[in-house]
Amino acid sequence: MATPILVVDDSAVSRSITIRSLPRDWDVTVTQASNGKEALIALHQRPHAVVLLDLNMPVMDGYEFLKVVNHWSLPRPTVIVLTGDIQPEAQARVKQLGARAFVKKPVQPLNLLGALKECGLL
Amino acid sequence: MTLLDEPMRSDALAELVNIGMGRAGDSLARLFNTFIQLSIPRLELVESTQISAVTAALVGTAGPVIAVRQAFSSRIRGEAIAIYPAAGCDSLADLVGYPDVTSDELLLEITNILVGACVGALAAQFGLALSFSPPSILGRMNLPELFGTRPLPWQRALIAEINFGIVDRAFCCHLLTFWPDASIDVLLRAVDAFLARLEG
Amino acid sequence: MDTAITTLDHLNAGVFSVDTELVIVRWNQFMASHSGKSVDEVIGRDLFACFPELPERWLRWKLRSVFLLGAFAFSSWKQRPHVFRFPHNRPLTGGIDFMCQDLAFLPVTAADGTVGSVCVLVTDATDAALSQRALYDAHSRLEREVSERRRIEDELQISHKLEAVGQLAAGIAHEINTPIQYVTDSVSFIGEAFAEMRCIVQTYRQALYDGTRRMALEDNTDLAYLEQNVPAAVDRALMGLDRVAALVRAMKEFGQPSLTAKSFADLNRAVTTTLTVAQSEYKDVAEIELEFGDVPEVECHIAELNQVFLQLIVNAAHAIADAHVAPARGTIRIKTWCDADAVFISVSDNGTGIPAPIRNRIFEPFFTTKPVGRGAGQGLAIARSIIVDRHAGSLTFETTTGRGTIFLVRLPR
Repeated sequence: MATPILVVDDSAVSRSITIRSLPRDWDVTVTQASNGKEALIALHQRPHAVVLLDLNMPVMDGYEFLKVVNHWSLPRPTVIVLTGDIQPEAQARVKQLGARAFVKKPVQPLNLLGALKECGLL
Repeated sequence: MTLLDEPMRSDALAELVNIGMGRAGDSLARLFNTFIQLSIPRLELVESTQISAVTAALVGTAGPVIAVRQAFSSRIRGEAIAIYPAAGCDSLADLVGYPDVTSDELLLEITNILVGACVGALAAQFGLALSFSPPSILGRMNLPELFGTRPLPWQRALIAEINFGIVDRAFCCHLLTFWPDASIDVLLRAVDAFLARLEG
Repeated sequence: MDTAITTLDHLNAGVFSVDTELVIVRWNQFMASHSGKSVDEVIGRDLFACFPELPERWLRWKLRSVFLLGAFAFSSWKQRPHVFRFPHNRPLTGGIDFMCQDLAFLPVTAADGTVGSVCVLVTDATDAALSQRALYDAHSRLEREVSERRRIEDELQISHKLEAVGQLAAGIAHEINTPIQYVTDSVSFIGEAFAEMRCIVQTYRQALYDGTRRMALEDNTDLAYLEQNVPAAVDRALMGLDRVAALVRAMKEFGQPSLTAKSFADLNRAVTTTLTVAQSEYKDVAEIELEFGDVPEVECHIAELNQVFLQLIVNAAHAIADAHVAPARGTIRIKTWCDADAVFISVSDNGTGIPAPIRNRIFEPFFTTKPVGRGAGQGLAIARSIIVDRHAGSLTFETTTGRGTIFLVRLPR
């Protein structure tokens, strides 16, 4: 069965890079959202096993999204943060908020593969 | 055809600027041992006659500011202007580890770090190596005085605006990067090449 | 490689590199000749061990930032003029202590992508610094000249205004003088006429002695009251007129337009005149003590000197008003004397005295301690200019906080 994945980023180009960086042999169905709020709606409509999350976004940013997901009763997805904000403290903050892995942008297929393995998804 | 008419181009460029901004924030954070808050980049294509109005809208600060500029060049040439609301520039001296630092020197330092990291990272994604000239202080002024009333030596420019803040401090910096006239086309081709790699 | 090194050595700029341990790994000819330390002396040695005079904490921070970020860094002579204590490049013309320097720090990336060393470019910015300094000096000189000119213009304007007021006062005094003269004459005449009337009434009384009629008549007119009070009223009126006449005379003298040529004048008389004019300023707060010496007439612009005396008396009155709570009163003592060369006038008060921090500023134009409306801060500046510039004299003071102040005017004979 295909793994449902949610890609959250305000940049379409960035979402496209992310999707292209996913392992070719991994069977997935991809849903896209352009901010935290859209991502929450998508999760309500259908549970996703994995969320690939950008941090700096309009409407609702990645930090806010993580805080909401932390407090809800629905099945929790595995969240991997993909961001241009590569400060060590940004990494520490999202880990504390429940993100399982951190990949810096621009996303490289090898780095993403490493993060997916780190979370036990492959 | 202009850069921003094509949504994929402007989106791609915004993402590249975003990555540059992330590098700049990281540089500042590592040097000053503090967390830097980043904004979402904004891009505008502007005619030189509109520059004051557009700058005011992007920065949105009333009250005096200190402006510092720095030029960069290679196949593209441009200039960055860092705008610091004057009210947030006091008591930054403890950020650096050396004594007798003046506010001017510190703002030159911060500008150089932000421009070097942000514009440098952006250019690196296009495979361009930039060289930078030393930053210099434009002065303490109100925003409308930034470009004065003199005629400007360009017709159109692409502006990328990002801002940086330090948690728990009033300090804030608006970094405006200007790519005038011919540089827009170079930038445009670089973005197209980047998008083509993505397709391929 | 050899060519590159030779080129670096001929460059009219300093080039050196340090590795991650801040050990010097490159040192060009410019650095050697300006620092006095040859390549052999510095290569392989710690930068700060070789140059202890370098601003170490700043430079370490700067180099660290380049190693850490792999980005350019700069420093300008405007913030840090002399990073290295290099002699300037003007052995002949001089004009500056050390070479002013701009520094550029360039990261040199190693094969593994990390920054292996930092190359520092030291350029001589002395010429730019000197021309900026010259520009700055010229600018400050111009600013000083403009403000000096503005000050003189303001002073002139105020003294013109004072002169106009003086002339106006003299004119008014002249106009008042004539009616006062005939009012005085008339009142004197009424007084004399009344006395004569009394004699006539007295005579009639005796001639027409009739007890009852006299009582009724005199009760009706209250003649006794009139007899008693009218002469007193006339005397009072005459006294008042006398004082008005004196004031008008003083105003005429005080406000005399300053002639282009000086003329001889009696300073004791000038002081008396000024005291009459200034009465309203001091009469509620101070007694006046006069000690006039036998002083010769002095060749002067008397209207201007009157202004100086007025200023000193008004200042003394203000100092006393600030020091004494009514109804306690102070004393203004005015003394004149002379020696072989000069005539002296001193005006002393037992008021607040001048506080130490402002003593050397009281003659500055626009300097005032008085609230708005009580003085524009021009008085003493103008007074000094009148005495010193117009009369080749001096205006000095001695003061003790809480005890009072004495101003001394010296005018050459």
